[in-house]
Amino acid sequence: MRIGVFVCHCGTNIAATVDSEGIAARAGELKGVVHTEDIIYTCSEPGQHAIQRAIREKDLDRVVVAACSPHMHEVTFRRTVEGAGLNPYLFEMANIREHCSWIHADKPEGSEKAYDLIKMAVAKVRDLEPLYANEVEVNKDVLVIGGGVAGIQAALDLAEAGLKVTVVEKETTIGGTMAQLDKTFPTIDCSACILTPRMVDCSQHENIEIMAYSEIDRVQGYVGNFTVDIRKKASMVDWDKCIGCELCQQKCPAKAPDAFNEGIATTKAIYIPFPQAVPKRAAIQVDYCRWFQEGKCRVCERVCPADAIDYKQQDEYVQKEFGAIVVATGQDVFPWEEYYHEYGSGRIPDVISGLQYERMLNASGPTHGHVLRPSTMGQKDVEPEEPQTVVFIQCIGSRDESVGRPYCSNVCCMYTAKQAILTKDHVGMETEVYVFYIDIRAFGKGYEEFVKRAQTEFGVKYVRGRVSKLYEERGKVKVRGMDTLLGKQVEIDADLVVLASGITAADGASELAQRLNISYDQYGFFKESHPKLRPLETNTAGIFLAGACQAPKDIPTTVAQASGTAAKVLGLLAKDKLKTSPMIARVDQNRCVSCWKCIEVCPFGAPEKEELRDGSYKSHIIETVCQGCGICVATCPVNCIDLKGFGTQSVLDQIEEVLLT
Amino acid sequence: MSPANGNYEAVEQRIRELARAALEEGRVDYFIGWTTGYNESEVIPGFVRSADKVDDLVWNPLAAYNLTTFLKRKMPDPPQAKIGVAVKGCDSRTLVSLLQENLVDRERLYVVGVPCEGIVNRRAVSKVFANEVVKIEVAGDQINVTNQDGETKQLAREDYLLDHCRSCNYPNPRYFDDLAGEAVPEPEDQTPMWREIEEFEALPEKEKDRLMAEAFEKCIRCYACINACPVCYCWDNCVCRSRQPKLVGQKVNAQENLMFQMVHMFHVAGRCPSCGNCDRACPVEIPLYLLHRKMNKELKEMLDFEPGIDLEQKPVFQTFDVNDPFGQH
Repeated sequence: MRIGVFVCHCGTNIAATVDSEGIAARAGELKGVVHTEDIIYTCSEPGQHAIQRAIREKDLDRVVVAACSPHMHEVTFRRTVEGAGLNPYLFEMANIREHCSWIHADKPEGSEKAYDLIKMAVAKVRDLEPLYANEVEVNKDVLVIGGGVAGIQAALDLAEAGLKVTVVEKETTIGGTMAQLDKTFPTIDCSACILTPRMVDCSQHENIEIMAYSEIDRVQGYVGNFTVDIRKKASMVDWDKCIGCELCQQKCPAKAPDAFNEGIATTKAIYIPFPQAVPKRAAIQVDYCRWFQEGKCRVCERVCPADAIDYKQQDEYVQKEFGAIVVATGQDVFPWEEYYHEYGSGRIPDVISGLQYERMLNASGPTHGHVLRPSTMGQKDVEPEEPQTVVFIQCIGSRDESVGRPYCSNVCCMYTAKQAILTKDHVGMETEVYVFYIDIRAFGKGYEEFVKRAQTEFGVKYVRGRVSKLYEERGKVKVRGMDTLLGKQVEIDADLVVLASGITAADGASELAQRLNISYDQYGFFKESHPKLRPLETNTAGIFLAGACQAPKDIPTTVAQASGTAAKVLGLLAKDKLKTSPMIARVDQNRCVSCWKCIEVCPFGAPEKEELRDGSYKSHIIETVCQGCGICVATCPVNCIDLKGFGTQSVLDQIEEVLLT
Repeated sequence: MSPANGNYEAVEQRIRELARAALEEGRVDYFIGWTTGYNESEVIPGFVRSADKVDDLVWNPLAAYNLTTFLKRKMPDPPQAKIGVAVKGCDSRTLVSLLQENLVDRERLYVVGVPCEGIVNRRAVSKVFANEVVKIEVAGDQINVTNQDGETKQLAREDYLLDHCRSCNYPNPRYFDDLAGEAVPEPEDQTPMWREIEEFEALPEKEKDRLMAEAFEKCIRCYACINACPVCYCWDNCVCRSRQPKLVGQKVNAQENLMFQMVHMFHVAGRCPSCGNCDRACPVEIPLYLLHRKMNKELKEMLDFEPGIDLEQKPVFQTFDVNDPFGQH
């Protein structure tokens, strides 16, 4: 065995508290070490050349680099030793910077500890065996989960690059939350005008298949080779025949709540959410349909010119194969009614959420863009009133630990400014508009200027403070709050109060995450692999994130992220074969007792039941699926799983080396 | 534990009937029950392979052996054998643990549950005579012990029960296909009792060390404890005997022996209901069962978990619940 030890100074990062030169010389005494060297910057080009030269000249067969964290440069040095013809897995790093020099002040002590760390690395490297990466064929189709603006953007980018994309959307139309918006900040351009052409592009693109009204049922497999079961929910309408003429919706006698309009209007039991829906297909809400509930009606069947109604339709399951998955499932609006009892819990009709107001502002919404007081709407002999005083309250379900949402929802400050401007525009400049805020977060391009415009040009009155109570009094909504800048109590008689409800994780996000084996945070947002350096990847190879499913995001950021994700997917699928890490689990089948705990705990589905010649079943790790996380190693009750490159014996050797020598 | 109501014979008959029926109908290839040992002072495991041999099976308060131990060994070998087994309350809990972990095949198992009113501590009873005891007979609250010279002594049953029978909350099997006889009344107060553990915990550290050293010094590393253990299933690959990787020292001294027993304790944690098989198998009489009781106490207090209670319960170390009492600490 011919081990080379290279001790880094990292300028003074290490050398200030560790005698790199001295311990490099001492490391020469360790068993198997034939060459030692101290280098000022080992990761620099001359440093890497020094390693390669030593490997060639001294015929080294193992290399230890004592430098920074392997997180930093393990990959770098593996490449270095590979470049000199050594197997890259016959290399070990001793972390004498983060684990030593940075946390110690005393140089002799620091040096001693650094030497111990090097001893352990040498002990480990003695035990290593060469490992070889596997290759796995790649399926080049991509699954995009969620058909909001993130999913649409990612799908279009991928399809343009020539990949086949399937977009699975749980609603009957793609478009997501953006389709519900009226205008977009900070340019006040019409949301539908910029989104719907993209939706149509999606539906017409030869490389894109839209599976609307469908959900992900099961995901198996691994990067490059996912097998996904998709459940097409029964819409009770044969979508191959439906032409989207809306006749059924017009004639349907059964009213149903209108989710697309956020409940401020009703739709019919058979419905198409909005005129620009893609695909424009009708679906029956069974819970409200007279035929399903009462056993008579069938009006839609009679009026349908395409003979598309099919009351017997069942959920359908489709299995498809993909190489990569983009998760773009978006967000939900914070359900403020459940939390803010001081604001009436939804019982005051003139207190509505931001998205409800958005629908009201929208020209294709239920009020055709007229701002009206909900308390005066839909009543006989009452002319709907326009509000004269509108109060906006910010940070509803954002930055509020008492409702379990300490995070900032990112978009509410801006959409409130937009809605305040639009209020002045729609109702008239004489309207009194107040915004209660904690801080204004206008961080994006053109955002600060936009808020300034609301304040100066449109005269929106911004009040810094929180509203403590909302209640009805003589046909008005009393807004009682605090102006913290003036240090005074404020009371406003409002006609309409709009709560800037924040963003919360989409309903069912955690269930989907579990199906996909990706992590999510305590709020239900999906977790990126690294907040700075791998913001688009999940910890499961081949699964990527786009949009607000990761964290609250505005449209520009969502679209930018979606394109970034598409680039990541393209980078992955540009290869015909994928190399997989060889540092994976391995089962000693002689010892396996077939308890299948490994299968239960594995987040990637790597262990499988393998039938042996005697008919018994033993655990077997699918090499290309295993990510080497080690959870099965720790779980296996009979200790029959080992991690290549991290064997039990090598860990013991390290402990022995540091304790006994 | 309530005094025995003395229907041992009826239960014994029922076990034989059930075993006979299972063998005759071919539902099992063999039946594991209890049988009389080399004399009437001992009950040992009995394997019955034909219906005419079922009368060898016995049931009395000496039937201490937890027969599920043989399942972990026999189930894979021969691979397709169908096995009948008799289980007491505590035995059924190890069986439930094994079933939870897929270590025995439910489809090939026929379980006769035996309600139990407490097992006599044969080791303690046989010490009342200096020479060999040849017969132990339980009659109501009395134990009649006879030695090789024909001398007889009468003991109070209450004083000679196994420790874990005194604090048993589950005298009826938790899992069975057929129950032999009527279920016995379960204690109303199901709060676990840890008297002997609490006493030990209250000792000064030095005294604990001394007692531990004293106990484990005796260990001869014969591994009878792990062979007898129904939920210890690494077979020939026990880490305590492995030299590659060498995880536990092979030297026989108090420290290394304790280490070995600790490894065993941790390894069976969550599966071991402290049935006492290890304890009874130990030829040098180390009170191993206390070690496992201690672990059970910790599990109950930290994770509110009792092993082998319910087939649907997940192995404790495979679950995480933020509401665990431990999480509240």
